[in-house]
Amino acid sequence: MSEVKRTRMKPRLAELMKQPGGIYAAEALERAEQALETLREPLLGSIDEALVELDRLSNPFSVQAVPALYRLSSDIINFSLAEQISGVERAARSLCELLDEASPTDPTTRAGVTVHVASLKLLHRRADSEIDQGSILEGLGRILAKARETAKAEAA
Amino acid sequence: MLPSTLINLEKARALIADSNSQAQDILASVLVGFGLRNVVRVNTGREAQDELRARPVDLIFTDAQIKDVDGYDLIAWLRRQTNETLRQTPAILVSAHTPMRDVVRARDCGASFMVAKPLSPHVLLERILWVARSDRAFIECDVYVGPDRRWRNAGPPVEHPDGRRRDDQAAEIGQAADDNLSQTELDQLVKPQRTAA
Repeated sequence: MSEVKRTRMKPRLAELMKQPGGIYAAEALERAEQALETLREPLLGSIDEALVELDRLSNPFSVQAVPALYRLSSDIINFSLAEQISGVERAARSLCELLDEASPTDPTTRAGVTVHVASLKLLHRRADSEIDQGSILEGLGRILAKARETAKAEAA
Repeated sequence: MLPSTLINLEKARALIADSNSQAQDILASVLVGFGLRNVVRVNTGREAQDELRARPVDLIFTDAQIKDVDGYDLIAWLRRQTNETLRQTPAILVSAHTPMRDVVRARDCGASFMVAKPLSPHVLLERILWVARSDRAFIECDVYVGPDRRWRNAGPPVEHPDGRRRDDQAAEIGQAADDNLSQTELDQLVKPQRTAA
């Protein structure tokens, strides 16, 4: 068994944070939220662009496009803090999981990608009162479960 | 974290490594909101390595999928191939998609934390406070270099030094009675079914 060296971490950050001055956590969080608010519209615009690109790359779907589709859905997750509803993040996460776990050559996967992209377009820029996001996400969940089952059966 | 917790990040220097400029904007906005004045941004893992070689930082945020050298390899390099001071720098991995295999990879590369996107200011501030106050051990051995991955037997939380429950273990655990855990045993410690049991 290899020798293990154990030392106590003393990050410089700890020393700096102990210095006099600073702000309260509540104020820091408020400032951060305000700073994010200024990014809201540019981020929504980036989701617009990502959705156009997702649509283009998935129609027709090709296995070669999977890495780009995965990157775009990851970007949507990242930018989804600008959305009013959590459905966009959850749908994009579901698409990431589908692309990551399902067999790209399975027709179910192809159909699943198309449904995810259509759902993202429906959910984007919506308020909670405008759309039944629960039903849409439930449908995406069923598609993902089915694709996982197929991938598992193929691997067995 | 209490709303009245006082934080002073004015003199801290942070590095943001992400190939997406808007992702950098999000993180930089949050950090500046927290009072950081010195935030360095880089687009690739190699640029991050160059920056760290040139001037150390107090806190690192890296995207897991950053170009050239990904976030996992960047942190593994930081922990194993830099000087003693730099290698203990708190390093937080951020990622949009966090399947279990990536969480395990983050743990094993020596990341202080992995944070899922979309980033929440509240979660980020909690993590920053945690790595700054941490009295976690730093482990160096053949198969792993980084913060102690074992969370069990850690005693009561730092913010509750007297313990919250009667069955909390003591902060001082004394000398090890048995051999060190093997890599397989360490891996099993984070398996969800074991944790849930």
